[in-house]
Amino acid sequence: MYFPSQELPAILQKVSERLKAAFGPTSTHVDIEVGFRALELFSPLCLHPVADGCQALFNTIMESPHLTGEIKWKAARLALYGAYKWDLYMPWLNDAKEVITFFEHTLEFPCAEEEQDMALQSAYRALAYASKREMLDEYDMKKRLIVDGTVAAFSHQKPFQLWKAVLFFLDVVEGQWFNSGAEIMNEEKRRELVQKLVDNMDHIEPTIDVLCAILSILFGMADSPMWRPHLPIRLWSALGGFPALPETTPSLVRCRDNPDVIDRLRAYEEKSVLKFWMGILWRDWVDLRPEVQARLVEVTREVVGPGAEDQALISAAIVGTHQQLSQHMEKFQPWSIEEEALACRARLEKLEQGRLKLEGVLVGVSGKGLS
Amino acid sequence: MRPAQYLRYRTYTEFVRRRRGLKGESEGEEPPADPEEAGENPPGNEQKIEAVEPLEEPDPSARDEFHQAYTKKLEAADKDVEDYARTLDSVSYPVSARMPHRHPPLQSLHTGSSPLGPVIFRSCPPFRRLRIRTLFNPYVPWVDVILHTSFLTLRSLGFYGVSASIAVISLSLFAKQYLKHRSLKEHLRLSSTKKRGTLAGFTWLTEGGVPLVALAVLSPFLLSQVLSKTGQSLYATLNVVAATFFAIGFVLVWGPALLHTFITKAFQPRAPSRAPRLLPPAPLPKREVAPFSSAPGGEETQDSTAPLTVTPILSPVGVDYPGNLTDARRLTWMLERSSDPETIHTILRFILEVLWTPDHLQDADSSSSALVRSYELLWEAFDNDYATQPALLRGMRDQAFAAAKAFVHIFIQGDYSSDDPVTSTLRNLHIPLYSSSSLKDDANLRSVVGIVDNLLGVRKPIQWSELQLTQLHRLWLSNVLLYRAWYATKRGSRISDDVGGFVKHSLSSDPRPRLAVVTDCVLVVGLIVGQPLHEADLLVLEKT
Repeated sequence: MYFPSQELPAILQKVSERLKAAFGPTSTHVDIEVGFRALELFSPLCLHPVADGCQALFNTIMESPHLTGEIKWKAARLALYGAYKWDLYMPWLNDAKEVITFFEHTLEFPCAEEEQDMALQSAYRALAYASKREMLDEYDMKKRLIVDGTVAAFSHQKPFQLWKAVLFFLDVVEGQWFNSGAEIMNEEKRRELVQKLVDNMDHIEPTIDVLCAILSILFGMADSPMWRPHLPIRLWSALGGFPALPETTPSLVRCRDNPDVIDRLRAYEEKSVLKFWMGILWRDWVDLRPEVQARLVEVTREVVGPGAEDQALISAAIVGTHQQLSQHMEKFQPWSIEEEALACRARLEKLEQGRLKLEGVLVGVSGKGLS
Repeated sequence: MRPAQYLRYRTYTEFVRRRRGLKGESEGEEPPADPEEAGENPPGNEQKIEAVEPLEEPDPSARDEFHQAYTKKLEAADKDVEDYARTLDSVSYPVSARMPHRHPPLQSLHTGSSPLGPVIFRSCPPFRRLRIRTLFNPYVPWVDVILHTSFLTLRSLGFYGVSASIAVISLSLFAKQYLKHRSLKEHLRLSSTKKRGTLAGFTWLTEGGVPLVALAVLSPFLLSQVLSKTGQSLYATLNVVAATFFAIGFVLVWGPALLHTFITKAFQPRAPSRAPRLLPPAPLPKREVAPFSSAPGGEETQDSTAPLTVTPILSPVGVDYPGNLTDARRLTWMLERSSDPETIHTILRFILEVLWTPDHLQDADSSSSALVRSYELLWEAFDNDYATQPALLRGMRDQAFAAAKAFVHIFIQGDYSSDDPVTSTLRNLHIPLYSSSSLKDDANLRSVVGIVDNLLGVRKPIQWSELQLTQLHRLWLSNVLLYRAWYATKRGSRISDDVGGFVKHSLSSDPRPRLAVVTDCVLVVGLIVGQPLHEADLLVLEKT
């Protein structure tokens, strides 16, 4: 006995259950064929239950012992597409193991181009948008297969959603790729990837998320001695999105503690990027390592001229952050001992120390301090 | 669980409200909103889905009251129909008379005894030109007038060979006109056939005969003056040349037609017993209005398998109504007798509101007759005389759209299969419409005629991605295609590709279609994976 299905969620749940049964352990060849046909129609639907249902179905398919060969991977492609096609909702990955297995298989055994792109796009979206960096750190993302496949997919000739997902995927795996010390690709490939990053910047709207992802990758590359020489000045224009980048971004923290980054920036003819970077360092003066502090003072004396423009540029980060913190502090009473207020006050204090130190250095250079 | 319990609510929203009210929940509570509007669903906080429970029986006294009001309305509708039937005698003849000209195959469909009519228009170039002339006035036989005049003139001048040839051609045309007229009479089959025949004869006489006589009288005088000085040698030469010319012309005109007719008749299967045949007018059956009765305690005494007379969407108590007269039969009766375009359009639109399922119709003739008539009306809107691709006639778009929808609705709800006699007859006559260039800018119409093509065996997939359908049309399509999928599942056959294509396109289209469309599409997917579908789900249009 059954009842009419009055509500869409109830219908969707029933269909999801049927689909799972169609690919389940007791399914026959006919069931699988029917399941394929239904899944092909079902997966493009942009609804929460569909995304959740498809993710569960993907896990069922991947874990199913009796599904083998192309049937398994075709069903997995459709299910993963159903789970991660919708920008507004993507179910979080509790464990990336199955997706990574699928990802590696897709790269190793490519299918027709359109289908391949769709499968890779779904996998990249799942890994980049719906999983956490810490979770991916448990898996080896430096495999040659993954590296080559990612570089190949990161081209604006590919579907937009595909290479956009790759951009965010690079942000997630930058720690493994750029901070490991291992040579994951040769020099030519490295140059190619950097060039693709520069090219793709022109083909995507520079939203805050995009700029933050690019900056995260950029700082990761700048921190690595293998990647740093290939960075063109054009890539550093993404620094415009710096205020939105969280201060705890791992690549930024690593880059800030690396005095060689300053030397690389000194090598460019255009000095404004160097000055902007020095401004960032002066903002975090208190937290810098001593050797970085020494290099910073040295370069500041060397680069900053007596004009007001240089001083304004180099102090821009301090002034901007100070304004932000001051506005934030207005929410609290002056005597507040809330944790957030205390942290904010400590940060202001550090800023002030950096500002005083910078002023001292600038007095030495131009004979007058910060205005 | 009987479907009747669900038919009292037009929408799911109404149903859900009612259900929740009965369960003691707050009256003001809205039914579950669109999941998309509900915002992002955080992980681990999945939406709760309530178990589906049957609806309790409504209050019987309220149903009695509603039934009485409904009966009164039906009585009024009956009276309107009878009044309309009386006024049908005044339907103008020419409007119906135009119909068989539009689609030649239909002529043979109705007459069966007219071997030449359908072929002439399709295969003979001279008669295409004739159609161009008749565009000016289709009821004036200008060719006959000219031929008769020439015949009389030349005979009076002594050109006997030429005049004899003209006489043969002229008689042939007369034969053709006679056959066409006979086919018209058979097609119309109105109650006052004799009266209409007189009217037709009168039209012939006034519009064709009078000019013919006038020209026949005057022309010899004029031409004899011009040709009075013609010599004997010229006369002989002209006579031979003209006789040869007309002989060749005769063969060219009639040869292909006769050959085509022979081939068609020799190889075409005989029309089956259920072939489209316009029924002679039947008197309106008396409505048996039985009082609605419910046994004490809410138990219904009506047989639950009683035929559903009126679509429950329009009349919620229809499922319990015991009469045999269905709205479908009523509509068929009216459709057969109407020739006024506005009336036809209204009937065609009303067809979509009535159930045509075999379970609910007692006689198959009703649906097949309406099906064929819808098909005729669809073809009436197309001109197929000049090219292999039919062209939509100017000003006939609405009729074509309504007729195509009615055809699809009856065909699918009536569960006509490919081996059905009516289907096979229509399939033999059908010319694909989907690729007609005149429909290029009309996605809605194109989508429906594409389904018509598919239903009649044309294996050309509809390119749904090329069609920008309106929301309302998509809603109608989703409902009717859900029926198609349902019947396919019932028969154990594969759901057709055009249904799958529609579902895939609708579910992935941007912006997303209405929730009712999405629900229909998901129900189709459910049918594919074996999720049973309750009949009540088919009846609800707005599944919100």
